[in-house]
Amino acid sequence: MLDLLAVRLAELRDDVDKVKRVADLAESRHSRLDGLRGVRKDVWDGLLEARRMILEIRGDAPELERLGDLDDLLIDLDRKMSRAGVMLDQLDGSMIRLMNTDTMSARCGAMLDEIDKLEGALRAGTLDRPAAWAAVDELTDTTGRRLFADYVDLLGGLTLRDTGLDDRVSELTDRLLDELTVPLRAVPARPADLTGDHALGDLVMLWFPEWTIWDVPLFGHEAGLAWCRTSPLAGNLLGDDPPARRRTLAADAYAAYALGPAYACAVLLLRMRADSSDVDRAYVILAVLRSMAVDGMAAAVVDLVEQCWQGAISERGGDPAPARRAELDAFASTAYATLRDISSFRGFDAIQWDAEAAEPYAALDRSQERGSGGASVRGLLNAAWAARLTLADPHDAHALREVADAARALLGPRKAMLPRERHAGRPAQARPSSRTGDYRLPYQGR
Amino acid sequence: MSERDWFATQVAQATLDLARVGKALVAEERLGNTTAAVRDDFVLLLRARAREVEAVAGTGWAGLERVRRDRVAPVLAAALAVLEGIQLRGHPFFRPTRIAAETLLDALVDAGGIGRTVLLSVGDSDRFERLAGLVRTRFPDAGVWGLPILVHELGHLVADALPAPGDKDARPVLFHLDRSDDPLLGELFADVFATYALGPAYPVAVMTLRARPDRFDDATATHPSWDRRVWTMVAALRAQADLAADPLTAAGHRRAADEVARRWKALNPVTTEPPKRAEEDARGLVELLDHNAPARLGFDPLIGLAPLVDALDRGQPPAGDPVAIVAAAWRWRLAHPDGPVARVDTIALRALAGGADA
Repeated sequence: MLDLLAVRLAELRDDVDKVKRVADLAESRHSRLDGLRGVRKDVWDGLLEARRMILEIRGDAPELERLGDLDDLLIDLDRKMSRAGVMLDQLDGSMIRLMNTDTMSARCGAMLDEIDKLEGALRAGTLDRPAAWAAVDELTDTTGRRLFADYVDLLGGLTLRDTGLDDRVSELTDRLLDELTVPLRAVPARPADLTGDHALGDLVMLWFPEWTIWDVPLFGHEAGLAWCRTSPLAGNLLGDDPPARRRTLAADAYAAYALGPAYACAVLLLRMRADSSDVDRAYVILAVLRSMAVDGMAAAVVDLVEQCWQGAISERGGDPAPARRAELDAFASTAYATLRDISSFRGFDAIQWDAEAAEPYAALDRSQERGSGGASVRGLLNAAWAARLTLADPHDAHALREVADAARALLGPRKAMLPRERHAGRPAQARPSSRTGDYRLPYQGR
Repeated sequence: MSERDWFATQVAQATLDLARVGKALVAEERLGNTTAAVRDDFVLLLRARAREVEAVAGTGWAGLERVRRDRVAPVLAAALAVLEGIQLRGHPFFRPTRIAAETLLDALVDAGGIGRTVLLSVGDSDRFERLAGLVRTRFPDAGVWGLPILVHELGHLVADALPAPGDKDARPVLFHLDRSDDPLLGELFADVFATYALGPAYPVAVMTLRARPDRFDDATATHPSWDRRVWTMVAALRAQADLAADPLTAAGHRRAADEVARRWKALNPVTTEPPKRAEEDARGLVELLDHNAPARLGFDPLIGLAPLVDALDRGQPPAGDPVAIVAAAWRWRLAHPDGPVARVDTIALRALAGGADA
């Protein structure tokens, strides 16, 4: 007799196997390119051999002039092969290596173990059928659904990255995360969440429709969560087993410190709900920024964002001042003091603004010549947001697109990853500080 | 000698005196390029007065005396002030501040588009001498800290000399001031001018160095009360925000206005927000500058002063335009109320002198 429970368990096992295979295939994208590279080398060697033979024949029989035409044809083919090689390298460079294969395998393996246990318990009679059905439902509706959704998003995001359809946002985020020496990579994805629940190992997911230059600063929060998980400095700030809310506030403080006003622009103007639910987070972000951006354009950006945010909260009948203001002031102050001990990068304060954002901002200003080679991504993002807020009408969609296009143009030509990065699959990292010891990641600070 | 010859001799002598004053000014080579306009003004003025003296030949002794007293004497006094000023400005003690002040004032004169330079000298108080176009800084000078107050004095020159766009003979500020029945509005224009050009550094400087609690609410014959003056400056910053070309610049001006207002309330706890009159005065005066002066005269609140403040704190003369250096010096002073004021003064003056050399 057909047993529906057994059918469902078999189907679930098959699905998980499929996910595992697809993950392996995703990682094998590079090996397919390696195969193409091998073919290219074979053709190249053949061409060289053919040209060598022509030279030899012409040496023996100079009257065979038509061989010269053949040689020209081979030279042209050689040039075309070289161009194909460059394109191949660029394609390879645009692909990231998946560093979370272990995580994915572990998740699949854990599910398969669960299925094995369930089947074993059913066979042994130690689990009755109602309990087995409940366990299958649990596996299907929670763990399995989450795993499948994550993988669909992951594959879609990888396709967008690999094909360059993401408007260079992947490149921006990769470079930003490199600047912060955070070993993460970002991919476009379906779910939108700032709490970090949708991070897959070293991959950070960002909701695809928001995959624009304006949203890139949001990755600061993910970098902040990574810092909270791994840095002893964060441990001192948060204590053992901190509640999720406190971790979120610490990640916000980190992002504000690392990315400066651009983070407040992205998170307050684009993401947070203008009601009481995000008042505490906004307060901490602005408090950290006010400690850093004391002057000039940086301070003006923070002021403008704060005015806009508070106006929206008030308009909806809320109070922009948090109920636990004293507690949040103390937290922001301690967090800022802690973050200043990070040794691998300097916070994006007014001095960094001048060093990193002033030049790209001048380049984005329409009155000045374009060209700001070598700008940091932090500087570029802050300059782009400042340019957006400097528009006579900051809501003009056409003008916004122009600013975004100009900012991307400042990145310069698309670069292929260095071979070492392709091989290692993770960004180059700063050398750990002598005070941090070798056992810690370099962004963890003192 | 007949009385007629005697009278003619005195007329000739008066004309000769004026010519000798002209020679004295021309002989003073230290006037230099920056004050050539002052010398040119005097040449024309002396020539006009000589013609007036010659024209009194038929009016008798009373007419000659009137021209001497009312027309010639002020010009001679002004010329003497210029020569005296030139001697004093060359004094080694005054040199560092003089170079710095000239760098700042020349930059503002250039940005203001008034088309004439200003002669800087020392006196017993900070003031502007209209006829000579002379700005005096008081002795001893206050170094970089007193420079914003000289910009206020420059404001009086700007009021006299600022033309309207497309009409170099029009004087819109003077017209505005004359039309008002408030004799103190000229001082408020100088305050607004200095605030417009220097940003919050000017209100902060006068509040710190000049304001007196016993005169917070009382006007003098020549100056409005400090409360009226400061609130007009705050309102001027807010008017600049309202006229700003973009929201970010507006936010920068508002931030400056809030900062000055906060400081003034701390000094003068019984004060209240800008009275309506201060807002109206400030708006009218800021609009005058906005309509008639080049845009580059206005202080840019988006300039990043932090690197300059940091350099001053480290003892390094920062590179920057004169307005930014003065603004940074005052920002440093506010951040370090008990800091080494004399040391930063020296560094800031050196930075301004570096700008002049460049």
